[in-house]
Amino acid sequence: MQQRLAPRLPALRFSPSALAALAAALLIGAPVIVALLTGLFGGGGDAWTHIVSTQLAGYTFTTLALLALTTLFLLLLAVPAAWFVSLYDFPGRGIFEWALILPLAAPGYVLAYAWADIMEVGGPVQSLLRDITGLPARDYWFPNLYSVPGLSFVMACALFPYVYLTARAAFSNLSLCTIEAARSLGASPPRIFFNVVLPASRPAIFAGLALALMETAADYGAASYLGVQTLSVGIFRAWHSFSEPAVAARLAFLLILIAFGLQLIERQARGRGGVQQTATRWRTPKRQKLGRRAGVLVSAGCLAILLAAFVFPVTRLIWVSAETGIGQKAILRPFLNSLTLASAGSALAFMLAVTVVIGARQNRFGQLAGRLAAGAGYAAPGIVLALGALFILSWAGFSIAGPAALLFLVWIYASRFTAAGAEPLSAAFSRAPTNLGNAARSLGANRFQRLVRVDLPVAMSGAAAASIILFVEMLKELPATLMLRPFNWDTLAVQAHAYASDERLAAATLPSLLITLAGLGPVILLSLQLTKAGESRAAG
Amino acid sequence: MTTHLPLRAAGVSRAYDGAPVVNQASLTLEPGKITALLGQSGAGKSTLLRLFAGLEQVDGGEILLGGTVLSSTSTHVPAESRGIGLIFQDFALFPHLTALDNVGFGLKGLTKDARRRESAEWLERLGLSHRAKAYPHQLSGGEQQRVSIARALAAKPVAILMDEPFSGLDVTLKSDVRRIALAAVSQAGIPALLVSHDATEAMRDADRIAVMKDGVILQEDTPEALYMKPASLPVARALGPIQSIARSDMPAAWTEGLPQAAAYCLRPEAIRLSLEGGIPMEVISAQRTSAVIELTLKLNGHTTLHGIGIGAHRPARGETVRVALSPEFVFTLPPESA
Repeated sequence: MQQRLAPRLPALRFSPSALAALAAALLIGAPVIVALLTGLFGGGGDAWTHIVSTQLAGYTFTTLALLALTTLFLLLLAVPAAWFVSLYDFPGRGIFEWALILPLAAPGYVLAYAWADIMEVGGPVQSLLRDITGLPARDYWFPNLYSVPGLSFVMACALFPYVYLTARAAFSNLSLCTIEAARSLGASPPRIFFNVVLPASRPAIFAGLALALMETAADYGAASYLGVQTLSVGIFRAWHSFSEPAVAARLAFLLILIAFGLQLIERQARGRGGVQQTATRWRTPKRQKLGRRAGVLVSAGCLAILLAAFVFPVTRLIWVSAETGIGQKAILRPFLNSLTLASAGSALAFMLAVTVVIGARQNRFGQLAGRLAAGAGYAAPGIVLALGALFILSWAGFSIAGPAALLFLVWIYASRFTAAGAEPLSAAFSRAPTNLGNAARSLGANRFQRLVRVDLPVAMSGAAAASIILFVEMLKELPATLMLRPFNWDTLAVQAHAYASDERLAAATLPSLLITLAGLGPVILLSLQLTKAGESRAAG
Repeated sequence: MTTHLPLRAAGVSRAYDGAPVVNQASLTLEPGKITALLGQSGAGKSTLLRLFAGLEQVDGGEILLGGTVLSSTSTHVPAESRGIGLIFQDFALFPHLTALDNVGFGLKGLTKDARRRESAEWLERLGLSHRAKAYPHQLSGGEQQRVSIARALAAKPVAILMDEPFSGLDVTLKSDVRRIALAAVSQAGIPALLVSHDATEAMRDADRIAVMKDGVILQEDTPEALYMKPASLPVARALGPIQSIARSDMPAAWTEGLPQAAAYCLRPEAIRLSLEGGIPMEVISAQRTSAVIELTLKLNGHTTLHGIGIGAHRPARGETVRVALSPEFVFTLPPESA
């Protein structure tokens, strides 16, 4: 319905809301545009020629290999788990259903610190192995986490809930009639899964996968800690160690291409998924009870995922933190800094998100500009945006050391995450009847009154979710903060990274835990929302 | 009591991307009367409603309230300044406001107390006083639609336009909600438009019906006149089932009293089971659908006819029954292409 009406919106009318949306779009899009242009036209000089001949292929190949391996891990972890949780009953299903979302709370770099500590020579796993076998440390093979497969494993642990959630939604939305029809035509369960279920759910799974891979490509913290030379790490190094911003911009251009490619896949997949979900007649499949042995096996599988992705690493962090007790005093300043920065960033991103979402309601031009900018900002890795901001800073003649840097950081946060905040706000509109604006008009409300009395209050019903999501995403943000913060001005994420990089893992645990704890809030909120949505669908 | 003015479309047209959706439509909505706009989806009904409401601009023709031009190619009074009430299929209640505040949304120039009092009165009139504090998501579909009607009427509109207002409702709810809602609309004494694709609903609810097809208003009259004297085959079809039969296929005894024509259009009521007299025919099928029995009959072994029967006895398949013609349900209409 909404789509049918959309073309009737005025195409190009410079109303105040359209201008506001345009201004917001510019504010959001500027860093990524600047980074892109500098990458394209900035010229790299000798340093670039050097990088091309020595490291470029390595960075690119490593990033692509990382993405490929992570895809494999993500699919292996998420799709079977989602399949069994949505369609079968087995011991602990009710707990796994929501608990498998928990890993979303911990950023990838935190999992990397924890897993590195668990897996190291003096860590609990290898110690236990030596105790059992009696072998000395060098006489056995042990998987090396400081490698592309190791990083893929960590990223898959951190990000598989994206795929799990979209796959689960797709599986529960499957029309039982389709499955029953396939069954009545004599298809075996594996054939139903591969020929009916997977093709129908593929768009949703792709959408989740593309999101997770975008995050993987954008990751700096985990990759740099595990010493994997991805493009993100290369960009940071070109800027920080070699002081070659032009080279960094060129590398950033490559990374943006990858990220935009992934976002394109996500959009396309989501578009097709939307068509599938509007099927008018479907019944949610009733869960089938698994046999005892199968049930225990599936339970064990889900438990293993949960242990690997959340319980082991978080427990290890708590253990180390409690054991050493380092850093408790030094944590206050970064904690307050994180709060301040995340609050300011959320406030700006929230205002931009409201402007973009409402602009999109009133004007097709605003809709286009806002969506493009927010999409670009969201797809662009934080490191790229920070680079763009640095170029703007240097053109404007500001010093990165001063408090102006904080303003820029708030701006970059907003540029990166406005899309994430806009999502719950537009969801509020998509839940509302399509004719609200027309109803208000027929009751004599003019443009401004409609904004104040209808659009804003309706958008605000998604405000709580939007603010929490924004706040936590900003709390976790590492690379942009690392590049733009004033000297000696640490956030929790920066402090965790600094300690971990200095091999002072014990000190890194407390800030890591605080970030994870904060992340649990929105994850629980999300989980509640999903359960409610499931209930209301079952009732309807 | 204030006098209400008719709302009129005079030859209005509207095209999307060059394709006409409403084509020189003229229609007068008289005060105190409910006019139904009947047609299949894609006929242009909702677009005509949007043109009346001012949600869209006309490409040609005029929309007038009494003698005042609301829309023409040179003027366009915006929707919010027309004072025309709208009722939507999806109710379009403001989700952040209670039922009472939804109703009060369009009330202007009143103190807060007065506004609440007036809103409460409207809710009471539609039988919803007990739901005043409920939010839209806590209301049933029927309650939501009554709130939306109270909201539209409370703003004292000069006319009210309803776009498939009852099609979102449960069948069992429908008749009650419709009765209460339409009574309130009639009482308001203003012109009212009811867009519908359901002929039964339109005939039951409306004082007048305009039949629309491919953006053109084919005929406008009372339900009775349209049903009994359709001007064309599409109009006859829009109001109910119709069958076309060549004169040569009809029994001679039936054609004697009919005007000269190559073919006739018959409503099912034209052909009925008869106890005495009538033409013998073979029963192909006989289905009881609540009040009547729908019959498919064969004449002389080749012509298939549809008719009805009333009574306790349902003829069996293959049985020979006697059938009579009611000529008032037989029309001679120009062929469809005309």
